[in-house]
Amino acid sequence: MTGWIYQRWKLPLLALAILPCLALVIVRDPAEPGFFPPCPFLVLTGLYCPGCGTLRSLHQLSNGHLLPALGLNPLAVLTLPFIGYAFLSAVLLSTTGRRPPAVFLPAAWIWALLGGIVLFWVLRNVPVYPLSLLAP
Amino acid sequence: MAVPPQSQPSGQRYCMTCGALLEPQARFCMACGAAVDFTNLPPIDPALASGPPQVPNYLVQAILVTIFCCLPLGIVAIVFSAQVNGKLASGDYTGAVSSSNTAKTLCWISFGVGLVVLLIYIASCAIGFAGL
Repeated sequence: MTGWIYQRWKLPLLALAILPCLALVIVRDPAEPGFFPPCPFLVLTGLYCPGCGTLRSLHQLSNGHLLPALGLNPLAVLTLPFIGYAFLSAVLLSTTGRRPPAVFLPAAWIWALLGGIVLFWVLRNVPVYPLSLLAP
Repeated sequence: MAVPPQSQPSGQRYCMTCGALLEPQARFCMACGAAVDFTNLPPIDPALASGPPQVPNYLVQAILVTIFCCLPLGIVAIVFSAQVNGKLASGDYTGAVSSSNTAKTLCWISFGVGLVVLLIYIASCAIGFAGL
């Protein structure tokens, strides 16, 4: 029974947690210091991780600025449709019992994605033009 | 309300996740709590299922913790996501489930660590703000 309660309320609770955070990111620009916490990884190592710039990127995207969003973190913008589809699929499954067809990615694609993320991680830390464009 | 599901000739439906008999019109399995997927009825045993068995690879969650939560542990979760789909493609169902569970655990650990760091930051800000 507890499992039933968990499955039934998982999405509403998730939405309840995410929506206020999303609203904050839309309203307040994370590029302005003082409100959003700095990334612990950046503070500890001085390096940009693959997720650096995601909040600022989401802020720009939500205000309709696609190019600045891509400049801050291209991976966040490019993976967003994939995450949106998965979320929509989960919402449809729990509300109507049906969901859009699940996409089965060949393992090679996921390995390629992994390679891309690691490469992106390394290259954006190289302070040489044009690689410095990848830095947030 | 959902459209009445397709059913087996016997009219009985079984849970995709644990195989328990479902109550008529149930949208959630009363045994394990999994949501009933009306589009993929009615495989009971992975070996008997006509299509490829579905094992979650948690790729979305892994990407979320890697790119949206700045935790390098998510990278390792993506490795296991790739393993899930690779093993499924080669028919290694048990291995896929094992990789799936590891990916799930890694995603939760990443998320938990991120949450704890955030809470520590908020607490330290609050203490600083109160001038203690």
